[in-house]
Amino acid sequence: MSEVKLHFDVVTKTPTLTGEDAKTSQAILTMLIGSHMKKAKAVVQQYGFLSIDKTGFIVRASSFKGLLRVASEYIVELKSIELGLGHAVCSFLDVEGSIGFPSCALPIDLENNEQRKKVEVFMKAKWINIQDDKIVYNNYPCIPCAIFGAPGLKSLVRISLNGDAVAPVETTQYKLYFFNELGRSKHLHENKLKPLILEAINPGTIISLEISFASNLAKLRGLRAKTCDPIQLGVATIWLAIQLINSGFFRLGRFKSRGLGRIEINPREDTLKMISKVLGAKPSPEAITKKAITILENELKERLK
Amino acid sequence: MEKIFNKGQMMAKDKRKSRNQHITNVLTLLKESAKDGKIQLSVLIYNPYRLMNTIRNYVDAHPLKNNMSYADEGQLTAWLLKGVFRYIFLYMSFEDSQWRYLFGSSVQGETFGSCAYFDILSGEEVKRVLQTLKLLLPPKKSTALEKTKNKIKMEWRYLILYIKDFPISQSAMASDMVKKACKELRLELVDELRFP
Repeated sequence: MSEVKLHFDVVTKTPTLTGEDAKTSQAILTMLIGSHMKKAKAVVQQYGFLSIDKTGFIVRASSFKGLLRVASEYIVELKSIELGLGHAVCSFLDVEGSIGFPSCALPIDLENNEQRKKVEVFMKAKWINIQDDKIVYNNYPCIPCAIFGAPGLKSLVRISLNGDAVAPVETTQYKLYFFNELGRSKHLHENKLKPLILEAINPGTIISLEISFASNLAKLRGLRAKTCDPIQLGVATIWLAIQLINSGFFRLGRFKSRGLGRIEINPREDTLKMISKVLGAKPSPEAITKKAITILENELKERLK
Repeated sequence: MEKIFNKGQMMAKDKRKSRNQHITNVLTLLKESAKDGKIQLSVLIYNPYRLMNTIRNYVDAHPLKNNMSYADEGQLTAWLLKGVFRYIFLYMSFEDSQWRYLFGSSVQGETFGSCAYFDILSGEEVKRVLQTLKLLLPPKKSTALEKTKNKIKMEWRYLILYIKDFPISQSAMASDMVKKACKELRLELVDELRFP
């Protein structure tokens, strides 16, 4: 399969605060604004971020990668549980208390006594078999690690912010006054209370996102995917993760649980056609979702049979 | 609201000592349920108008620049709901106060994200969310989902709570605690769904 590049428009549906701390933002913005354009370009290429005009906030491409990864982990694990196959993702499998974070404990060195202890956990989860004192890996790396990478395993995808990477994004500063003692004046600013100031990217902002698949790595069928082309599995999983993000369960940046950071990731028309071609589905979101579920389910059944 | 706030503040002072224990309790339950493969996604749909009216009386918000009008009330309700819920759990009872950490902890060493997120959405948007989830993770009874969709009025606004759900006891889920808190806030439950 030739190189696949997918283009999406990320639309902020609510005000969105990024996860960057002020000091880091300031340092990077100083490098960008106060330096020669060539240097600024190099910084952008290195970090793949989008600056937000004069506010000290930045959006990194890696934030989108992290978001897609977390949503992918959730959808793969939920599908596996729904099918009665047990755990399918390393961040949900408890290997010596490592639950909650991606932790690719495989491959195991059978010569190492410490590592041999983990064998039982992986065998019970049907992730490995032992044949002739050799380990057969059924679910290694797990699907999200196969797509987004793990220690020692290069990512199949590259996520970048497209277009003019330093284009300013409009923000609004919100100043919130809270009663700290009920019964005081409703005009809180008259009570000289310290307000909570939030500066957020405006709803309706569009950020251009590119997801490209490394074609040379995709040849590693068996390691990355067992039932289909690894790019097909990657596209299917990322598509399903995007649906979960668009539903509102996963969000971008800080203050998520305050109703902020809700985004929608929409494929451009040519990308929708490209996804339908890669997955072998009709070019409609419903048909693509159905096909993507079939691909993911088949892969999970093969890995965890 | 005043009663909740005042009692909640009083309880917050009393609970300071048990704070770390409460965080550990919730984190342990979260990890155990992930380990046991008992995670679900729950959606609770409420009529938010009463709460929005109450919150309007207690909060003043306005943007500083861009000449924007007052922040959208629905958005503002969602912004503040997390804080309101924390007080509600403190207000409810001694045992229930630990569930304030269902909305995450930023304590160093035991940091974890919130299990619940909020939005005030139009009926049309709620239907779209349900349709996407139906395709993605069909609930056990798909007829229930159709019934929910029929209850949603396109022109209304709804408070929608998304919960990464898990069992907190033999008979209760995290979403049950959130429902209990919503009942204290006298929010009217329109419907609830669990996926898968």
